[in-house]
Amino acid sequence: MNPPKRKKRDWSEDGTWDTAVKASPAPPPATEERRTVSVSMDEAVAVAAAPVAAEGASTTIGPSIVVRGRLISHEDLVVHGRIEATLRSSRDLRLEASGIVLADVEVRSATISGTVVGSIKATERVELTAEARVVGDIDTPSLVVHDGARFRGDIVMAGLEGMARPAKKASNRTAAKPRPVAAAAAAVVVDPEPTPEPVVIPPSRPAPVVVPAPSMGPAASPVSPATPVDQAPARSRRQAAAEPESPAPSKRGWFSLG
Amino acid sequence: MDGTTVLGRTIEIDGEIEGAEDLVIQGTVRGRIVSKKDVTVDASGSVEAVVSTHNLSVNGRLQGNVDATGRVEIGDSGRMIGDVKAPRVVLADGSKFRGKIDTAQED
Repeated sequence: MNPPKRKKRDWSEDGTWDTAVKASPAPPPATEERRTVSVSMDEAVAVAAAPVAAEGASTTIGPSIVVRGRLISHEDLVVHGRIEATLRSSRDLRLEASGIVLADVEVRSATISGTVVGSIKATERVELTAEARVVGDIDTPSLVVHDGARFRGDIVMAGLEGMARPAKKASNRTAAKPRPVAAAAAAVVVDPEPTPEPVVIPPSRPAPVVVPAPSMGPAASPVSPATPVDQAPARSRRQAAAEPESPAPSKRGWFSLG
Repeated sequence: MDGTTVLGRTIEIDGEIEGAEDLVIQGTVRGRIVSKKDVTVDASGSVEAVVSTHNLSVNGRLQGNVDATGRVEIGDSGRMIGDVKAPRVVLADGSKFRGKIDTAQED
Protein backbone atom coordinates (compact mmCIF):
# COMPACT_ATOMS: atom_id res chain seq x y z
CA MET A 1 0.00 0.00 0.00
CA ASN A 2 2.35 2.66 -1.01
CA PRO A 3 1.13 4.36 -4.12
CA PRO A 4 1.62 7.98 -3.19
CA LYS A 5 5.31 7.98 -3.72
CA ARG A 6 5.46 5.79 -6.73
CA LYS A 7 2.77 7.36 -8.74
CA LYS A 8 4.45 10.69 -9.11
CA ARG A 9 7.16 9.03 -11.04
CA ASP A 10 4.89 7.06 -13.23
CA TRP A 11 2.62 9.80 -14.33
CA SER A 12 4.37 12.73 -15.82
CA GLU A 13 3.10 16.15 -14.85
CA ASP A 14 1.15 16.75 -18.01
CA GLY A 15 -0.88 13.68 -17.40
CA THR A 16 0.72 11.55 -20.05
CA TRP A 17 1.21 7.93 -19.38
CA ASP A 18 4.78 6.97 -18.96
CA THR A 19 5.36 3.46 -20.11
CA ALA A 20 9.06 3.80 -19.59
CA VAL A 21 10.42 1.75 -16.75
CA LYS A 22 10.77 3.64 -13.55
CA ALA A 23 14.56 3.52 -13.72
CA SER A 24 14.56 6.31 -16.30
CA PRO A 25 13.52 9.48 -14.59
CA ALA A 26 13.42 11.55 -17.75
CA PRO A 27 11.69 9.48 -20.38
CA PRO A 28 13.03 9.90 -23.87
CA PRO A 29 11.01 11.67 -26.53
CA ALA A 30 7.87 9.93 -27.46
CA THR A 31 7.97 6.43 -28.66
CA GLU A 32 5.13 5.33 -30.81
CA GLU A 33 3.46 3.78 -27.84
CA ARG A 34 3.79 6.85 -25.70
CA ARG A 35 2.41 9.12 -28.31
CA THR A 36 -0.67 7.04 -28.86
CA VAL A 37 -1.46 6.90 -25.23
CA SER A 38 -0.75 10.48 -24.43
CA VAL A 39 -3.03 11.69 -27.17
CA SER A 40 -5.94 9.88 -25.70
CA MET A 41 -5.04 11.24 -22.31
CA ASP A 42 -4.99 14.76 -23.60
CA GLU A 43 -8.36 14.25 -25.12
CA ALA A 44 -9.73 13.07 -21.86
CA VAL A 45 -8.27 16.04 -20.09
CA ALA A 46 -9.49 18.46 -22.73
CA VAL A 47 -12.98 17.13 -22.48
CA ALA A 48 -12.93 17.40 -18.76
CA ALA A 49 -11.58 20.92 -18.86
CA ALA A 50 -13.84 22.36 -21.51
CA PRO A 51 -16.56 24.51 -20.02
CA VAL A 52 -18.42 24.28 -23.28
CA ALA A 53 -18.60 20.57 -23.06
CA ALA A 54 -22.06 19.84 -22.07
CA GLU A 55 -25.19 21.78 -22.71
CA GLY A 56 -27.88 19.32 -21.91
CA ALA A 57 -25.53 16.96 -20.20
CA SER A 58 -26.38 16.29 -16.64
CA THR A 59 -25.03 14.47 -13.66
CA THR A 60 -27.24 13.10 -10.95
CA ILE A 61 -25.74 12.46 -7.58
CA GLY A 62 -27.73 9.73 -5.92
CA PRO A 63 -29.22 9.74 -2.45
CA SER A 64 -26.58 7.56 -0.86
CA ILE A 65 -23.66 9.53 -2.20
CA VAL A 66 -21.57 11.79 -0.01
CA VAL A 67 -19.01 14.06 -1.61
CA ARG A 68 -16.49 15.90 0.48
CA GLY A 69 -13.90 18.40 -0.58
CA ARG A 70 -14.34 20.30 -3.80
CA LEU A 71 -16.62 19.69 -6.72
CA ILE A 72 -16.36 21.44 -10.06
CA SER A 73 -18.83 20.89 -12.82
CA HIS A 74 -19.53 22.18 -16.28
CA GLU A 75 -22.78 20.36 -16.67
CA ASP A 76 -26.10 20.44 -14.90
CA LEU A 77 -26.12 18.83 -11.53
CA VAL A 78 -29.02 17.15 -9.81
CA VAL A 79 -28.25 16.32 -6.22
CA HIS A 80 -30.20 13.85 -4.14
CA GLY A 81 -27.29 13.10 -1.87
CA ARG A 82 -25.00 15.04 0.33
CA ILE A 83 -22.36 17.47 -0.76
CA GLU A 84 -19.91 18.62 1.85
CA ALA A 85 -17.84 20.15 -0.84
CA THR A 86 -17.40 23.59 -2.24
CA LEU A 87 -19.51 23.37 -5.33
CA ARG A 88 -18.75 25.36 -8.44
CA SER A 89 -20.58 24.90 -11.67
CA SER A 90 -20.87 26.92 -14.84
CA ARG A 91 -24.30 25.37 -15.24
CA ASP A 92 -27.34 24.71 -13.15
CA LEU A 93 -27.78 23.05 -9.82
CA ARG A 94 -30.94 21.34 -8.75
CA LEU A 95 -30.90 20.30 -5.15
CA GLU A 96 -33.68 17.84 -4.52
CA ALA A 97 -35.57 17.58 -1.27
CA SER A 98 -33.31 14.82 -0.03
CA GLY A 99 -30.21 16.75 -1.04
CA ILE A 100 -27.94 18.49 1.40
CA VAL A 101 -25.15 20.93 0.69
CA LEU A 102 -22.93 21.96 3.53
CA ALA A 103 -20.61 24.39 1.82
CA ASP A 104 -20.57 27.37 -0.44
CA VAL A 105 -22.18 27.10 -3.83
CA GLU A 106 -21.27 29.03 -6.95
CA VAL A 107 -23.38 28.17 -9.95
CA ARG A 108 -25.20 29.68 -12.90
CA SER A 109 -28.58 29.01 -11.45
CA ALA A 110 -29.81 27.03 -8.50
CA THR A 111 -33.15 25.49 -7.70
CA ILE A 112 -33.13 24.48 -4.08
CA SER A 113 -35.59 22.04 -2.60
CA GLY A 114 -33.22 20.55 -0.09
CA THR A 115 -30.99 21.89 2.61
CA VAL A 116 -28.13 24.29 2.17
CA VAL A 117 -25.88 25.54 4.90
CA GLY A 118 -23.53 27.88 3.16
CA SER A 119 -23.66 30.80 0.82
CA ILE A 120 -25.22 30.56 -2.60
CA LYS A 121 -23.91 32.66 -5.42
CA ALA A 122 -25.62 32.38 -8.76
CA THR A 123 -24.87 34.39 -11.86
CA GLU A 124 -28.42 34.06 -13.14
CA ARG A 125 -31.04 32.88 -10.74
CA VAL A 126 -31.86 31.25 -7.44
CA GLU A 127 -35.14 29.62 -6.64
CA LEU A 128 -36.07 28.34 -3.21
CA THR A 129 -38.99 25.98 -3.41
CA ALA A 130 -41.44 25.33 -0.61
CA GLU A 131 -39.23 22.57 0.75
CA ALA A 132 -36.04 24.58 0.74
CA ARG A 133 -34.10 24.98 3.96
CA VAL A 134 -31.31 27.44 3.57
CA VAL A 135 -29.03 29.10 6.05
CA GLY A 136 -26.50 31.34 4.41
CA ASP A 137 -26.26 34.35 2.20
CA ILE A 138 -27.59 34.49 -1.32
CA ASP A 139 -26.05 36.60 -4.03
CA THR A 140 -27.90 36.56 -7.33
CA PRO A 141 -29.57 38.94 -9.76
CA SER A 142 -32.85 37.07 -9.67
CA LEU A 143 -34.42 35.31 -6.75
CA VAL A 144 -37.65 33.43 -6.27
CA VAL A 145 -38.75 32.33 -2.84
CA HIS A 146 -41.79 30.11 -2.66
CA ASP A 147 -44.25 30.01 0.17
CA GLY A 148 -43.00 27.52 2.70
CA ALA A 149 -39.31 27.96 2.07
CA ARG A 150 -37.23 28.55 5.16
CA PHE A 151 -34.31 30.80 4.90
CA ARG A 152 -31.98 32.71 7.10
CA GLY A 153 -29.26 34.90 5.73
CA ASP A 154 -28.48 37.97 3.76
CA ILE A 155 -29.70 38.52 0.24
CA VAL A 156 -27.70 40.57 -2.17
CA MET A 157 -29.15 41.29 -5.57
CA ALA A 158 -27.54 43.23 -8.34
CA GLY A 159 -29.40 46.24 -9.63
CA LEU A 160 -29.60 48.13 -6.39
CA GLU A 161 -26.31 49.89 -6.72
CA GLY A 162 -26.39 53.35 -5.30
CA MET A 163 -29.21 52.62 -2.93
CA ALA A 164 -28.07 52.88 0.63
CA ARG A 165 -29.28 50.55 3.25
CA PRO A 166 -31.75 52.10 5.62
CA ALA A 167 -30.19 53.43 8.76
CA LYS A 168 -29.98 50.87 11.45
CA LYS A 169 -32.56 51.25 14.11
CA ALA A 170 -31.35 48.25 15.95
CA SER A 171 -34.44 48.15 18.07
CA ASN A 172 -35.23 44.52 17.65
CA ARG A 173 -34.88 41.72 15.23
CA THR A 174 -38.10 42.18 13.35
CA ALA A 175 -37.32 45.79 12.77
CA ALA A 176 -33.75 45.25 11.81
CA LYS A 177 -33.93 42.09 9.87
CA PRO A 178 -36.16 42.79 6.89
CA ARG A 179 -34.09 45.57 5.55
CA PRO A 180 -31.94 43.67 3.07
CA VAL A 181 -34.95 41.76 1.98
CA ALA A 182 -37.13 44.81 1.70
CA ALA A 183 -34.56 46.48 -0.46
CA ALA A 184 -34.57 43.52 -2.74
CA ALA A 185 -38.27 42.98 -2.61
CA ALA A 186 -38.95 44.84 -5.80
CA ALA A 187 -37.05 42.26 -7.73
CA VAL A 188 -38.19 39.29 -5.75
CA VAL A 189 -40.85 37.33 -7.52
CA VAL A 190 -43.14 35.80 -5.03
CA ASP A 191 -45.42 33.01 -5.96
CA PRO A 192 -47.70 31.24 -6.04
CA GLU A 193 -49.57 33.57 -3.73
CA PRO A 194 -47.82 36.37 -2.05
CA THR A 195 -48.11 36.02 1.66
CA PRO A 196 -48.16 39.11 3.81
CA GLU A 197 -44.50 38.75 4.52
CA PRO A 198 -43.19 36.72 1.65
CA VAL A 199 -39.51 36.75 2.24
CA VAL A 200 -39.28 37.77 5.80
CA ILE A 201 -37.04 35.58 7.78
CA PRO A 202 -38.92 33.35 10.17
CA PRO A 203 -38.76 34.29 13.82
CA SER A 204 -35.58 33.53 15.58
CA ARG A 205 -36.15 29.93 16.34
CA PRO A 206 -32.69 28.63 16.96
CA ALA A 207 -32.76 26.08 14.20
CA PRO A 208 -35.47 26.34 11.60
CA VAL A 209 -33.46 24.07 9.40
CA VAL A 210 -33.05 20.59 10.64
CA VAL A 211 -30.41 18.66 8.87
CA PRO A 212 -31.60 15.11 8.62
CA ALA A 213 -28.81 12.83 9.49
CA PRO A 214 -28.60 10.04 7.00
CA SER A 215 -25.05 8.95 7.38
CA MET A 216 -23.97 12.18 8.88
CA GLY A 217 -20.55 10.75 8.61
CA PRO A 218 -17.80 11.86 10.84
CA ALA A 219 -18.78 15.37 11.61
CA ALA A 220 -15.12 16.03 11.56
CA SER A 221 -15.36 16.78 7.90
CA PRO A 222 -13.26 19.81 7.23
CA VAL A 223 -15.80 21.44 5.02
CA SER A 224 -19.06 21.49 6.83
CA PRO A 225 -17.99 23.34 9.92
CA ALA A 226 -15.67 25.54 7.97
CA THR A 227 -18.33 27.28 6.01
CA PRO A 228 -20.35 28.67 8.81
CA VAL A 229 -17.26 29.42 10.77
CA ASP A 230 -15.77 31.34 7.92
CA GLN A 231 -18.79 33.49 7.68
CA ALA A 232 -19.38 33.74 11.34
CA PRO A 233 -17.17 36.71 12.01
CA ALA A 234 -18.67 38.80 9.26
CA ARG A 235 -22.14 37.76 10.10
CA SER A 236 -21.96 38.17 13.78
CA ARG A 237 -20.42 41.55 13.38
CA ARG A 238 -23.18 42.59 11.09
CA GLN A 239 -25.86 41.11 13.18
CA ALA A 240 -24.39 42.33 16.36
CA ALA A 241 -24.79 45.81 15.00
CA ALA A 242 -28.27 45.14 13.81
CA GLU A 243 -29.67 43.31 16.77
CA PRO A 244 -27.66 44.03 19.82
CA GLU A 245 -30.05 42.64 22.32
CA SER A 246 -31.02 39.58 20.35
CA PRO A 247 -31.03 36.86 22.95
CA ALA A 248 -29.56 34.06 20.91
CA PRO A 249 -26.40 35.01 19.10
CA SER A 250 -26.42 33.97 15.50
CA LYS A 251 -23.66 31.53 16.14
CA ARG A 252 -25.94 29.24 17.94
CA GLY A 253 -28.14 28.95 14.91
CA TRP A 254 -25.22 28.19 12.71
CA PHE A 255 -23.77 25.51 14.79
CA SER A 256 -26.90 23.83 15.85
CA LEU A 257 -27.38 22.92 12.24
CA GLY A 258 -24.30 20.94 11.78
CA MET B 1 -33.69 3.94 -3.90
CA ASP B 2 -30.55 2.33 -5.10
CA GLY B 3 -29.72 3.76 -8.45
CA THR B 4 -26.57 4.61 -10.22
CA THR B 5 -24.74 7.84 -9.94
CA VAL B 6 -22.91 8.88 -13.06
CA LEU B 7 -20.42 11.67 -12.60
CA GLY B 8 -20.26 13.25 -16.03
CA ARG B 9 -17.23 14.21 -18.02
CA THR B 10 -17.04 17.74 -16.75
CA ILE B 11 -17.32 16.82 -13.11
CA GLU B 12 -14.20 17.27 -11.08
CA ILE B 13 -14.03 16.26 -7.46
CA ASP B 14 -11.18 16.84 -5.07
CA GLY B 15 -11.79 15.08 -1.86
CA GLU B 16 -13.87 12.14 -1.03
CA ILE B 17 -16.84 10.27 -2.38
CA GLU B 18 -18.80 7.84 -0.32
CA GLY B 19 -21.79 5.91 -1.43
CA ALA B 20 -23.94 2.86 -1.26
CA GLU B 21 -24.92 2.83 -4.87
CA ASP B 22 -23.20 2.14 -8.13
CA LEU B 23 -20.88 4.88 -9.18
CA VAL B 24 -19.73 5.60 -12.72
CA ILE B 25 -16.95 8.10 -13.15
CA GLN B 26 -16.60 9.84 -16.48
CA GLY B 27 -14.87 12.89 -15.10
CA THR B 28 -12.04 13.43 -12.66
CA VAL B 29 -11.83 12.36 -9.05
CA ARG B 30 -8.90 12.93 -6.75
CA GLY B 31 -8.81 11.76 -3.19
CA ARG B 32 -10.74 8.83 -1.89
CA ILE B 33 -13.62 6.71 -3.09
CA VAL B 34 -15.52 4.48 -0.73
CA SER B 35 -18.37 2.45 -2.12
CA LYS B 36 -20.38 -0.50 -0.96
CA LYS B 37 -21.38 -1.28 -4.51
CA ASP B 38 -19.68 -1.06 -7.87
CA VAL B 39 -17.35 1.60 -9.15
CA THR B 40 -16.73 2.04 -12.83
CA VAL B 41 -14.16 4.34 -14.31
CA ASP B 42 -15.27 5.03 -17.85
CA ALA B 43 -12.89 5.62 -20.70
CA SER B 44 -13.09 9.37 -20.18
CA GLY B 45 -12.68 9.00 -16.45
CA SER B 46 -9.56 9.82 -14.54
CA VAL B 47 -9.14 8.84 -10.95
CA GLU B 48 -6.30 9.52 -8.57
CA ALA B 49 -7.61 8.04 -5.43
CA VAL B 50 -7.56 5.31 -2.92
CA VAL B 51 -10.50 3.16 -3.86
CA SER B 52 -12.36 0.91 -1.54
CA THR B 53 -15.31 -0.82 -3.12
CA HIS B 54 -17.04 -4.05 -3.96
CA ASN B 55 -16.50 -4.41 -7.69
CA LEU B 56 -14.31 -2.13 -9.70
CA SER B 57 -14.09 -1.79 -13.42
CA VAL B 58 -11.49 0.46 -14.99
CA ASN B 59 -11.72 1.54 -18.60
CA GLY B 60 -10.13 4.92 -18.10
CA ARG B 61 -7.16 5.71 -15.95
CA LEU B 62 -6.78 5.00 -12.31
CA GLN B 63 -3.91 5.81 -10.07
CA GLY B 64 -4.05 4.64 -6.52
CA ASN B 65 -4.47 1.58 -4.42
CA VAL B 66 -7.58 -0.49 -4.65
CA ASP B 67 -9.16 -2.63 -2.01
CA ALA B 68 -12.13 -4.52 -3.35
CA THR B 69 -14.34 -7.15 -1.82
CA GLY B 70 -15.43 -8.46 -5.19
CA ARG B 71 -13.89 -8.25 -8.59
CA VAL B 72 -11.48 -5.82 -10.12
CA GLU B 73 -11.36 -5.64 -13.86
CA ILE B 74 -9.02 -3.51 -15.88
CA GLY B 75 -10.64 -3.25 -19.30
CA ASP B 76 -8.77 -3.21 -22.55
CA SER B 77 -8.65 0.56 -22.54
CA GLY B 78 -7.96 0.73 -18.82
CA ARG B 79 -4.72 2.01 -17.41
CA MET B 80 -3.87 1.62 -13.83
CA ILE B 81 -1.03 2.22 -11.44
CA GLY B 82 -1.35 1.02 -7.90
CA ASP B 83 -1.77 -2.05 -5.80
CA VAL B 84 -4.86 -4.16 -6.04
CA LYS B 85 -6.20 -6.29 -3.28
CA ALA B 86 -9.25 -8.24 -4.33
CA PRO B 87 -10.35 -11.85 -4.42
CA ARG B 88 -10.81 -11.70 -8.18
CA VAL B 89 -8.77 -9.68 -10.59
CA VAL B 90 -9.08 -9.51 -14.36
CA LEU B 91 -6.68 -7.74 -16.66
CA ALA B 92 -8.06 -7.57 -20.16
CA ASP B 93 -5.90 -7.83 -23.20
CA GLY B 94 -4.72 -4.32 -24.00
CA SER B 95 -4.98 -3.02 -20.48
CA LYS B 96 -1.98 -1.45 -18.85
CA PHE B 97 -1.17 -2.04 -15.27
CA ARG B 98 1.61 -1.48 -12.87
CA GLY B 99 1.54 -2.42 -9.24
CA LYS B 100 0.99 -5.36 -7.01
CA ILE B 101 -1.90 -7.70 -7.13
CA ASP B 102 -3.03 -9.69 -4.15
CA THR B 103 -5.94 -12.06 -4.51
CA ALA B 104 -5.46 -13.69 -1.13
CA GLN B 105 -8.60 -13.88 0.91
CA GLU B 106 -7.79 -13.44 4.50
CA ASP B 107 -11.19 -12.89 5.93
